[in-house]
Parts: sequence; structure tokens; C-alpha cells
Amino acid sequence: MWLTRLALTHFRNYARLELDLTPGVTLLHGNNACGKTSLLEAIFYLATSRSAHAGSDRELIRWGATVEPIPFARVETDLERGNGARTQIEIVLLPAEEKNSAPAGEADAARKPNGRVTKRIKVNGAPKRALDLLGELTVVLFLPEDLDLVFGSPSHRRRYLDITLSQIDPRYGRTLLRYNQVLEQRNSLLREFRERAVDPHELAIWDRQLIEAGTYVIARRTETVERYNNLIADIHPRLTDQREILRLAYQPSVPPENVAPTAVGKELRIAGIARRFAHEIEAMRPRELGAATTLVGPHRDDLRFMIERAADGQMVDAITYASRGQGRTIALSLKLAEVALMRAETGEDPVLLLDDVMSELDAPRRAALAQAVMDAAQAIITTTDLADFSPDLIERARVWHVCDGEILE
Amino acid sequence: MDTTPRAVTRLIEEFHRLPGVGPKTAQRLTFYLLRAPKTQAHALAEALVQLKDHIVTCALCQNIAEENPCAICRDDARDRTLICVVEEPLDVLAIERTREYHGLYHVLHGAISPVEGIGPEDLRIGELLTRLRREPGIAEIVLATNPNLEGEATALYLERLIKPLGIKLTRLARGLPVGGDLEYADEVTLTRALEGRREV
Repeated sequence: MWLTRLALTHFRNYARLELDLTPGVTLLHGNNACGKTSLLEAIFYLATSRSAHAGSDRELIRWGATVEPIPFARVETDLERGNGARTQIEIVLLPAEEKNSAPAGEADAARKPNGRVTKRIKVNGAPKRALDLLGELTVVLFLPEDLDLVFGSPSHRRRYLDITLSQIDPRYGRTLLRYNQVLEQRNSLLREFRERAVDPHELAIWDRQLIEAGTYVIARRTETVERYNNLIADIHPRLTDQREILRLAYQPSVPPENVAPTAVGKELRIAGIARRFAHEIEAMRPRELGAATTLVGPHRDDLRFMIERAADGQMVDAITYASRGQGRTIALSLKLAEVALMRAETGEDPVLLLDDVMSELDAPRRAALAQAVMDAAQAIITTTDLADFSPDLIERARVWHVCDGEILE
Repeated sequence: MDTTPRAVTRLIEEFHRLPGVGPKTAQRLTFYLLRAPKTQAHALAEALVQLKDHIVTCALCQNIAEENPCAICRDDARDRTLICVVEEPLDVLAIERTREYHGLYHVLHGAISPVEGIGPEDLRIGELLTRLRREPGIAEIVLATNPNLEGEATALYLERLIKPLGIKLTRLARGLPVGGDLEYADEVTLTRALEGRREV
């Protein structure tokens, strides 16, 4: 799929921008802090209705927009699929309305920056919930911060897996939301138990729903990590001149049963996860009451990157043993695998968004990424230096110059 | 200087406190009433007073009523061996509209939700258990709480309390809405509908 139009109003540093896009490679060239990244952010937001950086949505609304009676931001796009179908997506961001019940003083606090925003999403003019937007536009975003996926906290990796899976499987997004809601209820109850007598019945009534939703999340993550591994088995050795093999190791907080995953059917595997989950929750109960929070479940999973040196077969965990350069290559392998995964799962090329990542890579890996870019139906790339790209790629690309919220061809 | 008469601002504030009424709507309602005939404003005031002074809670089913016990609980034509447990009085109205149910009700006045600080003791669950103990003839309890997180948890909580009493316990079926399209149903609903399929 590819975008044919992008329009921004009061989004980040753009007062108003209307951009016609074409399939193939688009290079956005300009200095730092002039609004290149905001364009990619807007596209990512249209795909996921989430900010590319785990920050507040309120920051997406342009400062200057506060002169409007109601500060707002609007992002719109038209996209076209391989089969010729066209879709229009529009998201309007408004500061969240004050709650009726809130006393006057609290209402003011909600209006301050960093406050919550309301999103109004429309697909082809019809209002949609954020969950129903997922899958309309699929994107893979390459950021310099991808390094955090390798070296950062487990929450980065969970967020990454969740966003990827939500894009390819709408049920995953819905189930994850339900899981988080049950989790919130259950944690509230555990906190309440600090102040009053513990009633095990009251806790148990949330367990069934937690296990039901959590099991699907774990099963889907397990399955997806296996598919990543199949794809990465080809990608990573190519990126490292056959010197390294990369394996993703999913570490669910509910340990899998001791059976070879290939030996059992999907249904049995899911039943196995649910059984282990129930067992772990039961075993953890005393500790959960002490900690006043839920200690078992996919919200505590991790994903690790194991690298094996082809020379001596030694296997190490990247988080402790990889160099920054190796980390960059791992992140790149992961993202290239994601492109292939999305293509396979949705039957549609995702839009590639690259935020100034070429400068971080050495020549062989640049070439590999450039190849992926040229293979994509559409790639939108920001850069501060056109010299990072081969003449061949620049030849085929459309180059725009970005300067202080304005764009010139 | 704000010269709006005190009576006007006061009514605006009162409307604004109601759920779903924003400041604009509160103003519009107030100015509408200001221009409306005196009889209409008095009728509204009268209705509000009646609401609080003449509505009681039925000691049996906990539903709101004009008399205690309520009309449904007093009705001899109803099946007294059957109790349908719902979250809110509005749910009773919804089930009554079907004209398919002829048993009694029990209104919980909410659902368990720790996030909002609502525990089992905030609901009329104790009253339900007392009722079950006092009236030995009850043959079936229908759990008709909402099919959302909180409703499910509440139903599960009741299940654990009532099961040991040896009374037949049923839950409203969950599945596809009538007049809906299969392709637009979400996976959870479809899964439930498959689980609850019936032989024809």
C-alpha cells in the first residue's frame, strides 16, 4: 500500500501542510529540528493512533494552536492498496473534556499541557474506535531509538511487539485492551486488600478473565516470535557477512510447559498456557498480596536477542554482550523481518518510514536497508545528508526539502 | 461584573452537575425554562420532589418502586420460584419489555469494580442471600449482569456464593445480536456464540 496524500493541521510544528505523495521512495531532506520527523510521526499516528515515542499525545498539538478557541490537531491521509482500493483516514486530537463531576479546580488541571487528549478517528468519513483503525494502514518505522529495543527495558520490547501484532491482528489489539482492563481492576483490588481483610473469592473472580485474555496474548506473541525467527534466520547472517546468527527468545512470565512446541497442536498449546497461567497465579498469590500488584502475566514478559557467533557457536545475550554496532544491526534485522512479516500476514506491503537511520549504519548495512527501501511499495525517509544514499537510490527517489514547517520539491 | 441573577446561575450549576450535561446544555435548559410557562417549571419542580419523596426501595427485590413491596413482587400471577439478577433498575425495564419473563427480580444497583471502589459489600448481595434463605421455594436464579468485565466478575462472584446452596443457576446467553451481520461481529462475541450454539 502507499499514501497518496498527507495533510496536517496544527500537528507538531506544522500550522498547515498538504502533501501529495507517490509510490516508491520519497526523501525528506533538511536540517535538524525543522519538522522532518513530525511528518513520519503523523503517518505512524494515522496507522496506530499512538505516538511513535512513548510520550503524551498532548504534545502532538502545535503550540501555536492554543490561539484557536479550542486547540486541536488534525492529520489526514489518503491511501491506496495493491488492489486499487482507496481509504481515507482522519484523526482529530482535542484536549480531553473536563469531567462533569470534577470540581472546578480539578478541571483546570486537566487542561494543562501533558493532559489527556480525545481522539476522533474517521475512516472513509465514518467514525471509528481506535481499535478498529488498526490494520487499515500498516507501517514499519525505523528510528535511531530502535537501539532501545535491544538495550532498553523490557517495556520497550513489549510495546514494540504489541504495536506490531496489533497492526496485523485486530483481535490481538482488542484482547490486549481487555487484558489491561482486567489487570487494572485486579491491581486496584490487591491495593484495597492492604486496608481491609483479604477475600480470596473476590480476587478469583478476576483471574478467569485475566487468564483468558492473557493466554491469547502469550500464545500470539509466542507464535509471532517463532515467525520472526524464521525470517531473521535469512536476514541477520546476510547483514553480518555470515558471522552471526540471531535468535529472538521470548520469555513469558508464565513458563511454557515442557513439550516441544512443534509436537502439539495449537489448541493444546493454548490450553497448556492457560493451565500454567492458572497454576502460577495460584502459586504467586501470597506474594501478590504482599506486593499489592499482579505478578504473573504478559505484562511482565520479556523478549531477548541471542546472538550466536558462527565461528565458535558461542551464544550470548545481546543486552549484556553486544556492542552498540551489533545492537544497531540487531534492530535493523528485527525491522526488516517485521516488513516481511507484515507482508506475509496482511498480503500488503507496509509503508516504510525511516527517520534518519542511514547515518548510523556502516556501508554494508546501508546497502541492505537501501535494498529493502527500493523493494517497498512506498518508503518515506528523512535525512540531514543526501550523501548517505547511493546515487542509484537518489536517482529513483523524489527529493523534498523540508525547512521550518514548509516543504519544497 | 457578572449581573446574571443568582437564581439563574444556581439552576445552571445544578443542571451541570447531572451526568451528560455540559455547561452549554445547562445554560440552554435554564434559559428554556426561564421562557417556558410557569406551569411547566412548576410541573418539573413537582416531579423532582415526587421522585425523592414518593419513591421507595422494595425490601424484597431492591428495585425502585412506589410501594414496598413493589408491584412485581406483589403480583401473584408471577412465577415466584424464579429470580433474575440484574445490575440496574433500567435492566428490569428492558427485560419486562420482552414480555417473555414472568419471574421475580433482584436489583444489585451496580457491578463489582475495584477501580471505582465498588466491592461486593456495596451491592445488594447480602439482601439476595437473605432472600434465598427465607424463601425456600426458589428453583432457579438467572444471572443477567452485563456481558462486560465488571458484569462477568460480578456473575462469577454470585456463582461462587449461590452454587453451594444447591439452587439451579443460569447465565443469559451471549452471542450475536438479532438483525446483525456475522462478518461484523468481533471475535470474542463469535467465540461465545459458537460455544453457546444449540441444536436445531
